[in-house]
Amino acid sequence: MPAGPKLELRGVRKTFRDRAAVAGLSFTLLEGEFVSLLGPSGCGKSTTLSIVAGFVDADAGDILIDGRSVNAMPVRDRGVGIVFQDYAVFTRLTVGDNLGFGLEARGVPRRIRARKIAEMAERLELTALLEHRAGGLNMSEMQRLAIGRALIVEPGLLLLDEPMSNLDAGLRATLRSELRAIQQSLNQTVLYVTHDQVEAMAMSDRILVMDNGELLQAGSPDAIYDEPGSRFVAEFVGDPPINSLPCTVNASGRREARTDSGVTVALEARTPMVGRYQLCVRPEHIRIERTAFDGAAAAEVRFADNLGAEQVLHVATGDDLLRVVTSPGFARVGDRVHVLPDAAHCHFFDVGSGLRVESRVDRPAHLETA
Amino acid sequence: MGILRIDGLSVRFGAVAALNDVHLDVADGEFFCIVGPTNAGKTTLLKTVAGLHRPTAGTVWLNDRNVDGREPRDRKVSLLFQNNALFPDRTGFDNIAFALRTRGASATDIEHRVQEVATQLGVTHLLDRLPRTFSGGEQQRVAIGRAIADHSDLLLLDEPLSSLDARLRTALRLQFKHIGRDRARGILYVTHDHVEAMSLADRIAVLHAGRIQQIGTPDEIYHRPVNRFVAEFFGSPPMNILDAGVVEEGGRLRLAGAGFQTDAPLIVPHAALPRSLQIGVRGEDIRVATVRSESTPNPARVIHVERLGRKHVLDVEIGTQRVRVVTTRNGAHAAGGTVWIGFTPQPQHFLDRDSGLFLR
Amino acid sequence: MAGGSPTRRGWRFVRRTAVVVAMTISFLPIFWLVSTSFKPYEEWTTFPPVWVSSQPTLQNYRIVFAPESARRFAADQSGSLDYKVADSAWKAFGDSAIISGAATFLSVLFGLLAAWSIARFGTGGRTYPFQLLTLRMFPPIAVVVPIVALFSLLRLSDTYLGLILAYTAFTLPFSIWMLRSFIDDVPPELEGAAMVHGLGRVQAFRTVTLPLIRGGLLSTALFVFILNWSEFLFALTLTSGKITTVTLQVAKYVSASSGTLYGVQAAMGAISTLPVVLFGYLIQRHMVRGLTFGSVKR
Repeated sequence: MPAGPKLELRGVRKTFRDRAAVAGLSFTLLEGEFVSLLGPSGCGKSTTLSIVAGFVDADAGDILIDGRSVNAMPVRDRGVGIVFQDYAVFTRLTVGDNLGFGLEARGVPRRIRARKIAEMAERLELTALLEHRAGGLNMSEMQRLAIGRALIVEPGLLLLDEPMSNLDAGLRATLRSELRAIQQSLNQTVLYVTHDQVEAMAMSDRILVMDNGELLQAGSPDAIYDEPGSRFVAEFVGDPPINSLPCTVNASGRREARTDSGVTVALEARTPMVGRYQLCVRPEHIRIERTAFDGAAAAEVRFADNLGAEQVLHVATGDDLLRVVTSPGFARVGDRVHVLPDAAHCHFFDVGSGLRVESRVDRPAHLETA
Repeated sequence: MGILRIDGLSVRFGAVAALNDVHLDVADGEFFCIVGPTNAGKTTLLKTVAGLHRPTAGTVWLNDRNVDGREPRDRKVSLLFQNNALFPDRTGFDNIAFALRTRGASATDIEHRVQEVATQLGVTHLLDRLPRTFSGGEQQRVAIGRAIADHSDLLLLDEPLSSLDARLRTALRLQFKHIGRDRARGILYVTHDHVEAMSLADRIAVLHAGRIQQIGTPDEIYHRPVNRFVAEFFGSPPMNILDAGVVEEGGRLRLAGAGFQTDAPLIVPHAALPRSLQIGVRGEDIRVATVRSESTPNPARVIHVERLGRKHVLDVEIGTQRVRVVTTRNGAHAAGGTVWIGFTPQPQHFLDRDSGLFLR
Repeated sequence: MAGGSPTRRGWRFVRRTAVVVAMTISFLPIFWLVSTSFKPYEEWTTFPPVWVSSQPTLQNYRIVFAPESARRFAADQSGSLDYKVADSAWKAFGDSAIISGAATFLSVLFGLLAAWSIARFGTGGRTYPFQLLTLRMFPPIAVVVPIVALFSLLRLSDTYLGLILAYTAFTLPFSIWMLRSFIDDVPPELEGAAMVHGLGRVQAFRTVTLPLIRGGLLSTALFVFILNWSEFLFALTLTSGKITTVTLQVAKYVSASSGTLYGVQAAMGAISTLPVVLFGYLIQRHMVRGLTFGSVKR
């Protein structure tokens, strides 16, 4: 049975003073989906979340939860749970009282409350801590408590606002899998706001990339990564970041894209491209050798980022600095190497609009972005 | 000859020991990283070196000079604070020029030097503005400018990139590699991000709960961690630690745990291994296949797939143990499915289950 | 959806009404004070009350500043206004200015040093600021008798120095408490940065922190000045004729035959609020400015 959309936004718009924070946003979330709103700070993602939650009124457009408009509905009737950036747990209350807070506020009888608290604590492995003050929890426990407190009232939709942005890198990785595990075991619909592309990639079923209040692209993590619809998305997603170089395709002569520093990428014979483009290629899609090979450009290793299992070389050809992922110990700073971007994985973007341009003829000229 | 030596340093705040018997030294020209989780004592260490905290015990030597009891300004160090600490009522120019002015540099020197630093950091447009009008990244760069404007013996950097978004972080990381080195004779760099430390440092000290766990080059730390904490702190995903036992099978030494078996490496002397131990395996040293084969003999269940673009991280369950595996994107694995895994190369890390220390 | 939902509009109405009520409550006494100061004797206590006099007079102000001429004038009129205030109020204003000004300066100066020490070095432990404030919760009337005895022993009674010391001691806890919170708002890292970059500790405080808390410093000074300016109990008990403060002067406007001279008191009151209002007006620019301008994430 196909599930109906849990949440739907239709042409939502919000202007603060003269600036459009959200400029006509439409998207849907299916039941049980984990969707991330990803974008740089100021892109409108947090405003969108506030509008869905009901903290902020939209200027125009509709918000539908379970197919019903909630535009005029106050926050507490919308059936959404929220986890804030700093978790906002009540540090002076016990873990149990924190969990039961929403139930008590809604007048749920004590006996039912106790049962639900016990169940939620069990699920989030907080049972042993129920009588502890929340102030003494560690970050993992704090996150689980915040999520538990939001989930215990059984919200149809869980909203998370950058819940990991204040945490250490290592802890984030752990909490990511914990959050995802909880979400899956409950089949909980989640809208997750973040500026961290790794977080979005790691957890989401779908990612909505936003910039300047607009939705740039929506798709699975792999789709966003493999087929960025615009230069912005290409450069925003991926670690280490994608290589982005201006290039020229001449109308006559060999069909190839040539960057200003002389790196060339062969194009299909029948490609319609002519003129200036932005060439983007991911660091793992550049062939790199110690010896010269056909079509390769000579380069010098300027920096080497040792990541343990692999290294990222920053190699200079002419004025361009290319990032290339290699195995550890492949080359050292100062070494001469030879590089060639893999033509099949090169993305081209219009210099003006930043939109994707297809270099091959067997694909539609414009990729669907939303 | 070292630029910094720390001998038996302890710092206590009331009953809380922030640092406990810390020893380390930074060589001339070295980029030295202190890595550890929040509250490990990293900031305390930096501030103590700078002279902003008084140690409870121990000695700090800067440039072969005992600096105990010396004022911060007499130590020839520069410190970049985690929260920038830009002077809010001073322009970008005045912030960067601060140290030069207090030293009494001439107006032309100051002008010249500030322009140079600002150009290097791409903040020339901020020189006439107040910090409140800067974005996070701009504040950070101006703060870096203030820290490096005047030459110092030792540059102390406290999480200089932590408040920035990933994009900016990568870009600035590169800048640190060369900016710092020609502005100071040594760099002590504090971070909680193991990737930052790996890519920047000549050597790394891992700090946890106020104690140094290990000091070594990035490769040593990554490939030869001394204890479980270090092993799990470095690498994304962190090193997998699995319970296993050693069994002999037809003269061959095998490692067996709940749900898996694999050859023990020949380099391991038989007698050195206790019968029951833990093995440490990096996520990228585990092979995954959709079918059973010689190199992937152990069945596992896929719990979750993290799609990180160029690689996927699989959460799999072998027997009752959770393992995180890094795969290239060749196979399409989905949560709930069954995969076959193998250890290639053979496990190299063995832990004493009781002490949490690696056996070497 | 512009304008919000009906419930939100309703709330906005309630909020605005509350503001209007609050404004009325706080401004009514001031209005009454000014209005009464211009009323002739007959209108001071009539019922129903006179809001704005139909025959405003400067007589009350004349009595405040030139009692002799006023007495002659009153005698000419009808003799209805009988009073016995010897001095012009100029003397009271002068005394109050000296005492309040000096005491405010000392209180803020000592308060600043103490607050810095508490905020930066944890002097006295975590609860010390609370203890200080608790000290001030002690009602002044309870300590007034021993202070009077002590001051007369030290020959501080009825001297400027005596009142200045008493006022400084009396307002110091407030100064410390307020200034500490302003200093707390300035991250210690700012001073740390200045120290690492070449300044001594005191220098770092003076050149970095002090300019940032200028607004707080002035607010504190204003607050303390108001306390001093309007103080009555110490002024009454620690003086015996040589020194007169504004508050003592107000209390002197009582006549044997006519009772309390409300109009004169109102005139005196209106004049004595002027310096405070002026001071507040001059520093308001500093008071509304943020302290750290959001330079440091917290």
